[in-house]
Amino acid sequence: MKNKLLIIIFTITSLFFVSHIYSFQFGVGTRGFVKKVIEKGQEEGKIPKTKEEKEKGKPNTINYTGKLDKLDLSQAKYLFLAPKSTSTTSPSPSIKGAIYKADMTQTEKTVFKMKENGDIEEVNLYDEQGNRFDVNVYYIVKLSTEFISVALEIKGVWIVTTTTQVVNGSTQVVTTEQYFPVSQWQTSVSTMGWVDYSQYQKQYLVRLEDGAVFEGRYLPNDGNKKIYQDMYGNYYYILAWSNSAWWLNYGYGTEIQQGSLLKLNTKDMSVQVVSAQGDTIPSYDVEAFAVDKYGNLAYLSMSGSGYKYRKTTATVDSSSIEHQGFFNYPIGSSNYAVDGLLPIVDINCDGIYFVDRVSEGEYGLKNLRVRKLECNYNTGYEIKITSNVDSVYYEIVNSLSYAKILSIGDKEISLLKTTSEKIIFPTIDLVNATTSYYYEVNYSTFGLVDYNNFSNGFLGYQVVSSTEVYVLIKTQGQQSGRYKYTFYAIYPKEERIEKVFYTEKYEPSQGWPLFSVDENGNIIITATDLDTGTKNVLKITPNPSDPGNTNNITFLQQGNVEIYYLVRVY
Amino acid sequence: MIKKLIFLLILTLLISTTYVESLQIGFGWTLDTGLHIRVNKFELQGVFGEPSIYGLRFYPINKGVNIIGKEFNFYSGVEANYVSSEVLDWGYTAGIFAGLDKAIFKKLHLSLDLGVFFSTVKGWEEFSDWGAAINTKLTWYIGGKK
Repeated sequence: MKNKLLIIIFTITSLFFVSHIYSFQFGVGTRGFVKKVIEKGQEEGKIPKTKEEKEKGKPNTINYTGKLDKLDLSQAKYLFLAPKSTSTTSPSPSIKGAIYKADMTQTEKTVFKMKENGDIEEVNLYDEQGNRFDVNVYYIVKLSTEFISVALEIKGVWIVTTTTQVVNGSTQVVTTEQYFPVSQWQTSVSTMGWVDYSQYQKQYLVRLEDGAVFEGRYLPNDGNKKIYQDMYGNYYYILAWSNSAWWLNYGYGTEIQQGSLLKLNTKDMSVQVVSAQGDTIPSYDVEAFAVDKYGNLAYLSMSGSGYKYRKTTATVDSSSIEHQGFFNYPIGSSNYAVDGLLPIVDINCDGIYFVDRVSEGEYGLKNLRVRKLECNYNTGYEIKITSNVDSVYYEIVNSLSYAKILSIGDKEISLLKTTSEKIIFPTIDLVNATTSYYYEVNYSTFGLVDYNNFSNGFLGYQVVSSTEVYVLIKTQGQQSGRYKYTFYAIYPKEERIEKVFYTEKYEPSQGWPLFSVDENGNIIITATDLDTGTKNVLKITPNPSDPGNTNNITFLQQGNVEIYYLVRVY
Repeated sequence: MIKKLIFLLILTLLISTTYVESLQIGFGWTLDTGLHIRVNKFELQGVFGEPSIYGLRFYPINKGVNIIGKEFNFYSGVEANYVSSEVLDWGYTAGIFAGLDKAIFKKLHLSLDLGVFFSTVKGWEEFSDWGAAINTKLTWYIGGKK
């Protein structure tokens, strides 16, 4: 009994140590453990790798600022993250095909680009002198066709030195690279004597046109599901928790409250809070706020009451008016509105709309009221009541706030809404205030049985155009333990649905975005081959006449490392 | 080289005392290419290679335990070693361990233990880290009660 107690105490004590230490080496034999410690020290540049290195002495520290200047994005069509292939022991990395390397121990990631011709290259990151950085990249978020946002930690740099040597009587220029981890940078060592690694964990905007890098704070991160852009190049988003760059979150809440709506000015990289003081907005809900191209915004405040809207820019119509105030838009019984959708902006971002269910009029609760928020020089903050919608389908107005917006046309809104039996696709004509189209699809069409299954099986959608939507459905597969993933193209206005592709062999990575659509309507998705375990980037050509045909798949990338944050550059 | 010779000298001296019945003496090798000599609760060990370690183990706890009907010796103790490597100026490692020991053939014992260790080494700079290690040893006991 005593011995058992001793074993238990020993085990618990060991576990306690494991959870409280910075890193943990494991060795077979005490010597094996020591070997691991030495290797770790070598990785950090504190222990020489060879006897010769030791005799030569520690390389001199370099006076180096480590300022990231540019990413080589030339010819990039897609960008993604994958485990990096290079290491500090490999000053001349094999770039092409690096992602194919079976190095499952590599956990640090970097940016890869898929070029027009299908080639994949590791993206090099440079300083102003053309020296190449060794980095660990945490995410890529696409803001627009102009910018992406990345967070990364600089781990070291390969300093390029050019010398001339006389070989067989002729002078030759020889270029060499020497690796310096941040621990050898003079600027990285604090006055207290330790290396301040946190100063190399930063957020950047990267201009897609030329790869130019702009450092900033509170930039969009992987927690942002929706980012708006106005006509002046400003971006609007919620200050969200980052899922991968955990170190970013430590700074949140001190200067800017998490959940605040931010406006990023890319001209000077300044960030301004444009939500009312104390207001927080859910970052996970893509419909919680809307911004039009003039920079007017409306949002649902979690901490305030109802919706708020304001004008954020003074440049509309060349006026010099700066509006600082917020206006409340009532939810609930006020002014007969029962409830409504979150603020919606049309696809051209011309204006913000409120769609409410109202109890007034001949049709009772079946009435919808559409209001357009017009914030220009002439109208100020007047809300223009576009009109009351005549009688619409009861299912549209019932629990309207749970609807999903599939597309917002210039003058109409197409919705996706689930009931206990089916999905409905109403389209509301905002000009004539009528239900211009109505289409419904029963769950049984997708092989789904009930609402719960629908919740689990409806993975996501992408708007291809204002009249076409791709939906990804997950259902039970034919093979035991496997699911069937099916893409449907839905044309609500044509009241038509087509199965365009299905597979049980590939399991999509359920990250964000779930999938994207290229310029030709092909579906781009990262997926795991369940037979072989390979990780793939698939281009799926929709084929309604033969959706199960494997020839519908083109492999943009096949490898054995996970791919993250696939974004289309153009 | 000198360290290895000193170790072998100590080994020879200890073997010469194997007929002293009052001492419990054993010698053997670890599975990561090392040698050790056990004298009562103390064990001198050397594991060779790159890096090499030379150190002492102390076994204050030795208890008989019955696991699935088999008799084992449960032991626990502390260990400290000097680390020698061509890439280091010096290095030390120390830790606590616990494991089981069993006679597998006459006085030949097989032991397996798990330990939590801390190591500090000095190359260009000092570097320290924690970790765990499994040690497996074969020991032939000559004298004593084993």
